[in-house]
Parts: sequence; structure tokens; C-alpha cells
Amino acid sequence: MEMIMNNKSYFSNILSPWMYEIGPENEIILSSRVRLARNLDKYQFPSRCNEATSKEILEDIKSNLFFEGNEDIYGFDLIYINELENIQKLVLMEKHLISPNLLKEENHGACIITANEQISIMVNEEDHIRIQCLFPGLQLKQALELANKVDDYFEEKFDYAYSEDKGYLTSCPTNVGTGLRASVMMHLPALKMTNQINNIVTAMNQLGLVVRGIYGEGSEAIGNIFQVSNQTTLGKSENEIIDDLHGVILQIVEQEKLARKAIIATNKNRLEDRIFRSFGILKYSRIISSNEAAEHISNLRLGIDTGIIDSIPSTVLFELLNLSLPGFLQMNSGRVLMPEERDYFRAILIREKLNQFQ
Amino acid sequence: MLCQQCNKNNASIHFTKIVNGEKNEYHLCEVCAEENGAILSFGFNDNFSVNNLLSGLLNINQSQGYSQSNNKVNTFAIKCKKCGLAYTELSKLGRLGCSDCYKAFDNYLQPLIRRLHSGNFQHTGKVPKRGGKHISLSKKLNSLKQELKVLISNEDFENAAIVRDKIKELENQVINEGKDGNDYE
Repeated sequence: MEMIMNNKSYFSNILSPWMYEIGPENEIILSSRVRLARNLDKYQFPSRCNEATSKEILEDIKSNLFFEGNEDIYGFDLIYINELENIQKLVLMEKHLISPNLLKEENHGACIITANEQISIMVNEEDHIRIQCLFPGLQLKQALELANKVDDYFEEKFDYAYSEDKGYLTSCPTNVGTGLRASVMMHLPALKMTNQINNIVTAMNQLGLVVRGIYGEGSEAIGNIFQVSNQTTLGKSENEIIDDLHGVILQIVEQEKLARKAIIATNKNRLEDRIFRSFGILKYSRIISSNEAAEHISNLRLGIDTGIIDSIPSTVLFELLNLSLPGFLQMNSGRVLMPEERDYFRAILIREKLNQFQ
Repeated sequence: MLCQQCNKNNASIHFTKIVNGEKNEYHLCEVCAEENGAILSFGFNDNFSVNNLLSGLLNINQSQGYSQSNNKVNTFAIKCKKCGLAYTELSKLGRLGCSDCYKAFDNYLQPLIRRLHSGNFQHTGKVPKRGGKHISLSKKLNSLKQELKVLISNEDFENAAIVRDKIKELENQVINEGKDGNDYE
């Protein structure tokens, strides 16, 4: 089956360019993300918009941002979701540039992204505008700063739905106030191995934080990767929300480091065995499911971070995980794959990737 | 027994809600029960999500509203004037329809918002730059209007005239700034 593909790098590059940069606490914190939810005052919220209004909103945003002579400093590119192939939609979702929600509601959804894929703005998702900024490592403050700048740029052009006491008005009352959701993606294999993860998740919940799997809402943690984010958006300022989250995250980072040290001190042989077995499976298997792959990729990354494996760069975790996802698999093989075929192609792509590092 | 909401059909659905130890009995016909989501709120729902949870909380708030008001105000009939979202839809979807919904359903949203945001109900974060200016103007305007009322009731017409002129001036400013449809008031 032949597909006409948009040749833009967003769809062909396995990793977003910013993922190759090394951020603070890089060996545990994979990425930091800040999202601001905003609505335009003069329109109904997306869930109540009919098709014509959704279209009007998108046109409004387009005509105010993308016209001859308007050069924003970010180099924004507008992508219409309706014009994408299914596989391209999947790839954008797997890179966390758009949400599953934007795919479902094909109601004139769009996303505005930059070449380094660090800024992504969803249009007509649950709210009219959702500004998202991604950074490598633990850089919540930097992410907030950038998101605020983009927000100010939008606010020069659009009237936001805002009230003095409730702040930014959102479609769902869970986001009202700052509209801010800050999150970090953490790799916590040692806390999982030492059975501490459940206690930590409970403690984080008690502190008003949400812990989820890698794909966000409603999915389990795959490959020991956890996403931690703030729950409440009203009553605290943006900086307070970020500072509180940052503080808790640093403590978890410390706990993970301690657990890694303890495992190496008491069980180094077992750890090495586990890591090299995973390495072997990734290198030689002929059929591998996404869950099995994620488990071994997590072990491989732990091996790299603890110095047990030194011939492979740490970005291999993102590369292998992304390669294993349905969108990338199909993008790479150039055709639609049945689920059972995916496990076969996944094994091939992982082997090829690992053979690049000898 | 007639349905306590429409007073037309026979009540075929009877249930008791106990909220914080307070017991409320409901007798509704099928149509009204479905309309206000009563069936959903105690039936099993596979599609459990944040929104179901929210609508659950809204239903609790609603039943509290019921018990507190002696003059049978039909809470189900409340609608947002701007977008037309009805309370029944809100309690089903858990999503608001437009910025005015926050005002239209304020009584019901307030307890929900407090519960969602650890007791907080006041925004202390960012203020939009352009809109923010407008907001401080409207704040000033409100306090001047209050002052005017007091002056008039005290029959201090001399000062009232001064305040009235100030109000006019500010109102013109607001109108000029809000020409592009920016209306936060």
C-alpha cells in the first residue's frame, strides 16, 4: 500500500531534536514539560462548538498568526490534523507533540510546532489553545519561562477567557486558574526493583501530585517510566506550582540514586546479569512485543547510566522506545502493519539500531 | 405518585441519596430521571473517567442545593444564557460550554472547584497583560459605583456629581479598550 507522505522532519525523525541535548539530572529525568490551557473569550469552548465554529476558530488563529509579513521569533509551522495520514498522526502523538484527544476529535484540530519540536500548540483540543513546551532533563522553570513567552505572544493577538477570581477559564474545571500542568518524565528502575515505587507513588499522591505511565492518562507505566505532574491549578501561582513540583522531584531523584547505589553495593552481579541478558534479548530476538521491549530497554538504559555498559549513548532509550511504537514502526516499514507483524518488525529495527554501536 | 420534577408522569424511579449523613428521597418519572442523570449516577458505568467523576460531584452538589432550598427552585432548569448549556448537560459531561458558564453555574461549581483544588477558589497567578489592564479598570469602576450609591443615600449630591463624572470617564475608557469585543465584565 502506497502512502503519500508529508516529508517534514516531524514525521521522519525518530527523536525530536531537543531530545539529543543533555539536561540536568539527565540520568533519571528524561524530560520536563509545561502546558498552559487557554480559551478565546468570544467562542464557546470546543466541546460545545459545532463544525462551523470550530472552523472559524482555526481560521481566526491562522489569520492572526500566519500572514504575509508576520514573522514570529519561533518559526511556527501550522499542521492541520485532517490533512495527515493516520500513521503521521500516530507519530506526532508518540512524540508527545499532540494528544490522543486531538486525534479523536477531528473537529478542525491543528497543531503549531517549531522545527526543534520544543514548542507545540494544539488548537481545538479540549481547550481552544494548549501551549506546550518540552525540555530535556529537569528544566521546569525554563519550560515555564518559554511557555509564558509564547502565551504573551498569543495574548497580544487574542482575547482570552479570563476572570479576576477564577483566572484562565478552561473547558474542564480541573484546569481552571493557571491552566498550568507541569510534568516530568522519570526513569525509576531501581525504585521499582527495590519495591519502593508503590510507597513513593502513594506519598506523591498525598502531596497533591499525579503519577502516571508514559502515555499519560489511563495507561500503566511502561519501561519504568513515570510521569509526575501537579494536580491542582488554582490558588497557587505558576512559579509556586513549579517550585513545589521541582522540590518533590529532586527528592525522588535522590531516592532513585540511593536505590541504584544500594543495588550495586549488594547485588552487582545480579544487576549485571539482568542488564546483559536484556542487552542480549534486544540484540538477538526475532519477535518482541512492545511491553517486553520496554522492559529490556529500561534495563539497558540503567546499564548505561550505571556505567555497566559504556559503548552506547543514553539517547538509545528514547530511540528504541520510539522505534518500538506502532506509528514509528509503520513509518519505517512504509506500510500499515497488522499487530502480529509489528512484533517482528520491532525486533528487526531494534537489532539494526543496536548494531550501529559496536 | 406523581414525578416530583414534572408533576405529570407517574414516578417510577425511587431512590434515596445520602450525602454527609443527610438523607434525600427522590421520586421521578423515567424521562426526568434520565434527563438529570440520576440513572447514571448510581448505575455501573464502564466508561469511567475524570468527567464522570466530575459529574458525580456535580450531582452531589445539586442534591445539596435541593435540600437547602425550601422554595422548590428547579435546579435542572438552570441554563447558561450565552451558550445555552443546561445544568443537566453539565452534570452529564462535566465540561463547561463557554466562559459565561462559570458565572451561570457559580453556585454549583464553587464547592466542586474547592474540592478539586485543595480548598482553593481564588486565582493568584498570571494576569493577561491587555486584559489585566481592563480588569483593574472594571474593579475601580465597581468601587466607584458603590461609592456613588452611598453618597446618594446620604444625599451628598455635590460629591455624588464628581463621582458620577469619574464613572463616565472610566466607562468611556473601558468602551474604547474593549472595542474588539474584549469584555471581561
